[in-house]
Parts: sequence; structure tokens; C-alpha cells
Amino acid sequence: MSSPAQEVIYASAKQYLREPVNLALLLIIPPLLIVAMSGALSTFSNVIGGNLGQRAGSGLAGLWAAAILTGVASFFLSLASACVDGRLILAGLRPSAVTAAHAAMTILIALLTAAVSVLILLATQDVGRLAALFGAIFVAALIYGSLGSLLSVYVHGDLEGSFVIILIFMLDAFVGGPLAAGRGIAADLLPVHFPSEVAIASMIDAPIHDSWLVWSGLYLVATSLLATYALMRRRTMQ
Amino acid sequence: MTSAPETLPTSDLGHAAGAAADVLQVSDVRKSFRRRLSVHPRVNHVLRGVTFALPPGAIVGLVGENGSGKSVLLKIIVGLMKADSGTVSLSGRLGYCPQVPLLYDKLTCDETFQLFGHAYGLGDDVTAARATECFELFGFARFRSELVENLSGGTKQKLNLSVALLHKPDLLLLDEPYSGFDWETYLRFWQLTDFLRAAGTTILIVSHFIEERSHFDRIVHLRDGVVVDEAA
Repeated sequence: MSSPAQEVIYASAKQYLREPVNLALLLIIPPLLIVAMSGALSTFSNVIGGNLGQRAGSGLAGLWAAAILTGVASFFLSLASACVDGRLILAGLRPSAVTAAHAAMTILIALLTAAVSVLILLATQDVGRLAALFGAIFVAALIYGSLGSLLSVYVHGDLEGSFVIILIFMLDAFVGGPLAAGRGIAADLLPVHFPSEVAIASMIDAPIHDSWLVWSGLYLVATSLLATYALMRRRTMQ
Repeated sequence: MTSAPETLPTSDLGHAAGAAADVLQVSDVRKSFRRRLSVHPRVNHVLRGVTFALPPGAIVGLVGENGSGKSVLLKIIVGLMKADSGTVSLSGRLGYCPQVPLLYDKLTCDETFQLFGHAYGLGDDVTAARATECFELFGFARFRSELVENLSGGTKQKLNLSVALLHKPDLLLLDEPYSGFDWETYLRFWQLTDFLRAAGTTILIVSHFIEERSHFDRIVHLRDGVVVDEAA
């Protein structure tokens, strides 16, 4: 007999995997960004002040694909299940079990999206350091997954939530990311600035600064804690 | 018109008759909402001191117009909202059937029962047995492997109600439970409530209006946030 938390994980996994749009996005977004747009990213980077090469651009695109897919999936899953979660808690499930199930589901989706991105990068580019690249993309996906869960507690519309995630992504990409050689506190504060630096360095086999790893970890811990706190407090039912 | 079946296909969905103490006591519950960000801040007093009690084995209707505070009161009773003042005392297991079916739409009916069975702390065998009783009682066994999203509104409502009954609650709170039911299911529903009442289950049915008063032991009428009359 499985635990209640496991049952919620199974239910969430079925919610994700039985939605054909999720699988279609998983097959379309990473190849589109990595294969079709990496050249354009490199050119665009030079226009807006960056100096991203094509390999580095591919790594960044892979990270974006995993982050966006995980963030959006996490937001929609968490938003759609808010009322059912409330009913399950009323039925006797502990809020911590429901929250743990959501966290586990976000980790699984982040693993899946990161794996797809890295596989496409391996198939199309020379990858300098595979483990570091996978780690950076996985952490970026987890950060966006946590942000998606956090948003689902405070933004109750599908459209509005999607806009907020895209807005954060655009700030990340055009202000904080290596695409525009973003520097300074504003750039550092954006969610995947440091994982992006790690991913690019991993792609082109450049040195990885310890501070990038530390800040990536700190950002992951902070967003995870915020999302966990918000989900624990949520007891929404129509 | 189809007549209702003579007997219920199950005999074990109720629980043993409980003690004579009230199953639910609502005492002087008050709730207000403040519009702080409005140009004209004001306080909306939704509940102004609601008091009533439900004894074991009673079927009680909670009636009121839109905005009378029924939904707020229900949320306070089930614990989804805090009252500003007053107390709500519950004894025994609570079963709650919301007006809108709150279920994972990508799960089958069987998977839904399994999930809620775990939430109620029931074993797999007990859950499966009670799920079968519910399927037979409401006549939707042929949909047991169907995804919730593919069910009709009425069948979803049957599943919604079945989930609330799965753990044999002592107090059953039903929010507009028969919306979407066909006539036969509607009659079965009242047979079920009579059966549950006989077994000691207390049932509170929340509705905009109540047509068949003969089914109820009491009707609690909520108007402007207070109980204005309690008709037998």
C-alpha cells in the first residue's frame, strides 16, 4: 500500500502525462529553441551588447526551454489542483503531504525537461562538461518550477499566470542573462542569471566560478522555501 | 417517468447510530469582509451571529437567497475560512460534497476513489468495496474506468457525492447536491438520505430553495446573515 503523498504524486503525474499538450510542448519547445534559434540568438546577442557564440547560445536556449516548460507546467498543475488539494486536506491528508507531492512532481518535471534539453544539445552540439551542464539546466528548471508553484497561489487566472511567467522569463533573458551580458545587482537578482552562466561555461568548457554555484544554490533554496511556504498555507476551495 | 427502485442496492453506506449529543453546533458565528483598497472602503457584514445545532440522524436544509451567507457559513463549518467570532463544534467524521465537483479531471473514477480512500485513511480493500457500493447505488459502474473529464455533469455529480460518502461520515454537508441529477438518481438520492438518517447520519443540505419540505426534519433559513426562522 502506498502512502497518501505517493498517491497524490501518482495523481499529479497522471494529470501531467495524460494532457497531450504537455507532451507536445516537450517535443516542440526544446528543439525549436536549441536547433532553430541558437544561431539567431548569437546574432541577437551581438546586437544588444552581448557576445554569445553559437554553442553558448545553444546551451542557453536549452536552459530556457527546460525552465519555461517546468515553470508553466508547475503553475498549471498547481493551479488546477488547488481546489482538489483543499478537498483532500479536508478528507484527512496533511498539507505537508500535499506540498511534498507537488515538490516531488516539480522535481520530476524538471528532470524530464532538463534531460530532453541535454539530449538535444548532445545530439546537435559539442558539450564541454556534461554533468555541469545538466546540473545548471536542472537547477534553472527547478527555480522556474518553484516560481510556477508560488505564482499559482497568488495568481488565479491561467492567462495572467502565463503572462507573469513570460514576463519573468523576458527579464531573465534580456536583462539578467548572458544574452545581453547583463551585469550588476539587477541582473544578479533575476532567477536564472547564475545557472545561465554555469550552463554557458559548461557548453564551451570555460571556467565555472564558485560564486555562480553558490548563488545558484541560494536562489534555488530561496524560491523552493517560498513556494513550499505558500503551498502549505493554501487551502483553497471554490 | 421512471419509478425509484424499491430497495437500495447497498445496505452499508451509513454508520452506526451515534450518541444523542449534537453532531454540529454553530454558536454566534460572525464574519465580515472589509474592502480596504476601494475608493469607498466599507465593511460587509455577511454573518451577523448565526446559531443552530444539528442532532444525530437529522436531515436539515440550509436555505437562503444569493448573498445570504450560506457559502461563507459552509466554508467556516468545514474549516476553509475563519470566523471573526463565534464557535463551530463538530463531532465525528465530516463528509463534504461541494457544489462544483472538485476532482482531478485526468483520473478515472476508480483512481479517484483510490486517492480519496487514502486521504480518508481507508485500506485498499475497504476503498474498493465502498467504491463498488457507490457505483451500484448511483448506477454509474460502467464509467468506473472513464476519465472524470469525459463524464457528463450528472455522472460527475454522482462521483462527487460518492467521494463524500466513501468514509461513512457522521455529518454530511451537501452543497446543492442534486443539480444535474436525472429523475431516477434524484429519487435514489432521497432514498439514500432517508437510509443514512435511519443509520444516524446527520445531513445538512444547502440550497437556494427547497421544494420538497417533507424530506427535511428542519429547515434553517438564513437571511442577511442571521437565522430568521427554523421550520419543522
